[in-house]
Amino acid sequence: MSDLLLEMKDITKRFPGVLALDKVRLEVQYGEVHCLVGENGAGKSTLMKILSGAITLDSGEILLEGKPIQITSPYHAQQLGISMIYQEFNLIPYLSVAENIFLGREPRIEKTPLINWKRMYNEAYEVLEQVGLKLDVRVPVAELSIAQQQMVEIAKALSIKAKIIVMDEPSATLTEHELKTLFELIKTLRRQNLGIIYISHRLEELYEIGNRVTVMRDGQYVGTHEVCDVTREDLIRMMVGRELTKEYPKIFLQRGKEKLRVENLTRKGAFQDISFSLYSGEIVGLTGLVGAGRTEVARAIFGADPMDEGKIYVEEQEVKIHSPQEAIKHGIGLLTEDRKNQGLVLSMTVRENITLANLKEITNWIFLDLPKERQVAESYVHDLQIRTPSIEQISQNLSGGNQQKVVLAKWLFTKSRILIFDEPTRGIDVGAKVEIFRLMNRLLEQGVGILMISSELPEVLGICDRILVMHEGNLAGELSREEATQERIMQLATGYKKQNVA
Amino acid sequence: MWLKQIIKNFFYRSWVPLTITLIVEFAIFEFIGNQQGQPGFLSLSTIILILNQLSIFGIMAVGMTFVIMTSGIDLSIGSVGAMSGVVSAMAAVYFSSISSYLVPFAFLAGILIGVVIGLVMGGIITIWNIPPFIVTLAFMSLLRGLANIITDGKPISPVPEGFLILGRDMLFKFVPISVIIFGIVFLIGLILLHYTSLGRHTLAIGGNEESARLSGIPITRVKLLVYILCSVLSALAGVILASRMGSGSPKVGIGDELAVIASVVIGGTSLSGGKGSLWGTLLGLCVVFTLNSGLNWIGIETFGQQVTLGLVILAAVLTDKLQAKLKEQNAT
Repeated sequence: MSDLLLEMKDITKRFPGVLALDKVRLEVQYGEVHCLVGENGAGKSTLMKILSGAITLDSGEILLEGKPIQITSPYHAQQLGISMIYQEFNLIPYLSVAENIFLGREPRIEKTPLINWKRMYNEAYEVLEQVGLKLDVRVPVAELSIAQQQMVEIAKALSIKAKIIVMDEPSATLTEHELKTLFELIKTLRRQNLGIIYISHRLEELYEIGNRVTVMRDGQYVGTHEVCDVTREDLIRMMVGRELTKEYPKIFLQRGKEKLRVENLTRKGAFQDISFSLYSGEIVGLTGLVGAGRTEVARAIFGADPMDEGKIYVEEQEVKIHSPQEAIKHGIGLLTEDRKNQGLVLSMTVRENITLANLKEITNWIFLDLPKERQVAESYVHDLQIRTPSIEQISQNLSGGNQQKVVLAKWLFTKSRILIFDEPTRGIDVGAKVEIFRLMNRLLEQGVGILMISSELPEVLGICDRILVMHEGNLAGELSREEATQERIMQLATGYKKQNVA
Repeated sequence: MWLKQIIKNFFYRSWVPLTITLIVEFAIFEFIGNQQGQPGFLSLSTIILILNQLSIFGIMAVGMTFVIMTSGIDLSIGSVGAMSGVVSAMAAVYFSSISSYLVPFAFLAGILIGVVIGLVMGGIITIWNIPPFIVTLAFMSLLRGLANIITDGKPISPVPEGFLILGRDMLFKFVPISVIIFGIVFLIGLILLHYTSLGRHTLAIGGNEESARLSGIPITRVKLLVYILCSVLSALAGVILASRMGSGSPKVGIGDELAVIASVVIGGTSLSGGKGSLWGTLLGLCVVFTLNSGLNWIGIETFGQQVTLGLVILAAVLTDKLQAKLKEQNAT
């Protein structure tokens, strides 16, 4: 037993309606970098949240250095020697580096409650030295670069004598050079017999830094392998794995006129040189890993975020879009991923939300035509089969699927001809999903063009006519429905194809 | 069972506790007044007296309700009132030196000041995206100072006869003009809120600004209009006050923003925006001003009034919380 630093056995976690983790296993040896891979939603984060004490497990066992442990809180996990380094750091921006490292356990002047600043600074310098960072520990963290902040997080983990450090997508925000430094540091930590759990979407990093890799899919354990024993193709196949089912009522229509064309769309730091077109009667999928810049492209087209370069054509006319208002005028609608915070005004009624984007339509001179508004709302509720006691229901009280339909009704009422759906089925149960797809089909028949952003590959393959894949802000490729497979999409999305060609 | 349900539903309505409070206030003051040998608190003349006092604050409160519904705040209203009062009194004096027919235009001058102030404040708040609390706090001080500077700290007095009509005249010999004006302002407020897209947009912005923006609502324009509305109404209130006092004083309206915000909040408008009602504000005003008049009636002066107002604000907020909790329990 003593050769295992951490052992997680048969970890099961159920959320209302979902089995998030189903008897998942994970073993970490002393001095090992253990990579954890899987698609979005495979359960990696849930597993790590259990390890860090953020959520509790339903059943299963965790052994640390051979001894069974019950992790009760994040604080408890830290005391046990388990440190998490999240994508969004847990540093307090306007406290100094030293204060952040020693937050909650500041060294005291003996027999007083006063902080021993001298000792704190000295010790802070010492741990920073271990991670190879030379800077003034008295400057606020906000003044450091992202990479430096990450180093501070690692230093903090070392200073609390962590045995296991979990790094969640540590490379996502680093430059090439900073990444090299990080890898050097990880190698040093490995030599100190620490265990490192490394989560990343970039498969190439596994080969550079990892010892073993565990693959997860749909909340299940797929397998653990020595990194040198598996190829990228193997990994991708293991990550994707499942068969397509017939949950997708796909219809095929004659491709119509060009609805939308974008050329060389660029927003510095988010995406570069994106060009594609969208025709009436088709659904174009826009996929890629989280953080690849898909949502950012959609928001730029919709005028919600500024863009640095590029041209947008609506029905072959060049248009300038600086605000959602202008986008709506050109017949573009955006169904955001985050319905509650960006799609609906939850405190307003179903009726008020449906007409919100097009009050002009129900305004006489300056007065709202309330009877007409009620009529409009009733007809959409009936037409889209929105399940609500009445149009006067506060939209907060609706289920996810029905909220999504209210958002859709809002865009239908603006007479949008170009609809961008950002993760339209996220958090929606299977039945409602099929309904949403059917509604999309009806829109296609009316000549609308749909751009659908989705991370769910089966959904993308099941419903889209063409698929665009993004990788790190670039359009990595376009696949027709016929040539698209989960493997090919994952290859493009992880940047594999591109490197092979180069 | 159904009776219990009806009673429950009844108490969920936010106007119910306020109306009960109002009735209780009248009952208590009538009773204590009687004991002190001074009956007649519950009478038409007292009610008109209360309405007369309330009208000036009520005009401001209509604008404030809109501002708070966008999840904003306007602390400058008292100073705006003083500024516009001073300006209109100065204008009245100047106009009357030309012709007495020009005096009514002095009111317009005061209101115009309100437009300008609202435009500047709203502009700073929306264009540079600075918290309204800070901007209006700055203007509260800035305008108070300016009003004192242009008058050298002394009231503009005497003012021409024609200047007094807004504050002192009565319709049918018993309804003060200021109450009529408040009624009209309140009505316009109701129409704006419920029957125009401005009102709908105001609530949407307060409810969820990002959703509102992504629905194509012109956030900047709506907020600007709302701050202009609030400043214009505060200016109107200031002009009426100057007319009633027969002088343009730079010292009036100190602390008005607190009474107004208190009335709006007591009326159930949420400081975090998106939820509120003008009828609630009206009830809040009635509760607050009946309380003040009543305490005066039974001989409790300013300090006691301040304490009581504080208690009423707390009670209102707690009732609101309790209602929300009961509603939630009922839903599950």
